[in-house]
Amino acid sequence: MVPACDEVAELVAVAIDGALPTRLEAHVETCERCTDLLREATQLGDAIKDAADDYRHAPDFEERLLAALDPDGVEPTRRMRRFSALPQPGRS
Amino acid sequence: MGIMRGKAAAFEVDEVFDDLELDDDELEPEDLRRSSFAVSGERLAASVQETRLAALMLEGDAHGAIALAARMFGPAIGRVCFLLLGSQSEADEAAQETFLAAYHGVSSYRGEGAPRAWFYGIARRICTQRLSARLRQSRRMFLLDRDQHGLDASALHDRAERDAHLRRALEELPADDRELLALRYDAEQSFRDIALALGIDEAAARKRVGRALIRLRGKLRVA
Repeated sequence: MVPACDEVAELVAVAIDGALPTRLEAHVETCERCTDLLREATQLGDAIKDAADDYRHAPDFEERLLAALDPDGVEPTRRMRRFSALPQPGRS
Repeated sequence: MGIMRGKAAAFEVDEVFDDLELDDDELEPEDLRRSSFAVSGERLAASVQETRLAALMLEGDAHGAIALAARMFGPAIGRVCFLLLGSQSEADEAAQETFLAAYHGVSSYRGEGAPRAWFYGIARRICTQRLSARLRQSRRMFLLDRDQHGLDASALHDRAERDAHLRRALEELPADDRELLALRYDAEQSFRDIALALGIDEAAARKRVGRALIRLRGKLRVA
């Protein structure tokens, strides 16, 4: 694999959005390996979306959620606001 | 603003949502200034509703915000949970937990990114916790569970078989990879929003999504 192939692989997520640097686009046009990689990566992106299509959103999802919200009319407490699942800036 | 805050039994869903049909001039300029998401204008044109949601969150209207958020992207959050957890029932529970956690923590939203990205950040954390608990409880049971849900390829159409095959390959990836791919290719989050959700920079998000794609491609090739 030539260095340009490594660069294309590193930027594959950008490449399938059509935002590859011109220099690398020129390389892809002449490289069968990179062409295959981008084609398969594009197909994978579509397939990931398709794979979620089996999810069926419950018709009563919002109704159940609203029923669970604040059932006693109590405002969220400080402790509740610090729920551990919340994303913290700068932390993954 | 008149958002209902009464007991659950008194909720009329339509009324709650009718209450959310705000006029643009009801939005407080200060709320919008505090939201870099809104000020950037990137998504403002694409989603007036999401801007309304940002304003509700910034002014601390937890109930109104969560009701609107659930309507706007409850299904999308559920899809991502489904991809991360591989189970319809768990995805439903995780999506509910996501909005409940968001309700209790709406004050932590600072307008630094699109509300949608903030909700996805919570969803991925909820799913990660669930996956960790699942593995802690019993790795063996996890494997048995997967077997029980194994699909009989001969009974499926090509599309269903391919989707199931892909979900199995996703399950074999590290959880971080699965999250990145679900956020990017199902939820269609920008690299910027993914970076915010994961607490990394945008360039790193681009590279990590690409590496996850390549690892998924590798899993499918050896399967």
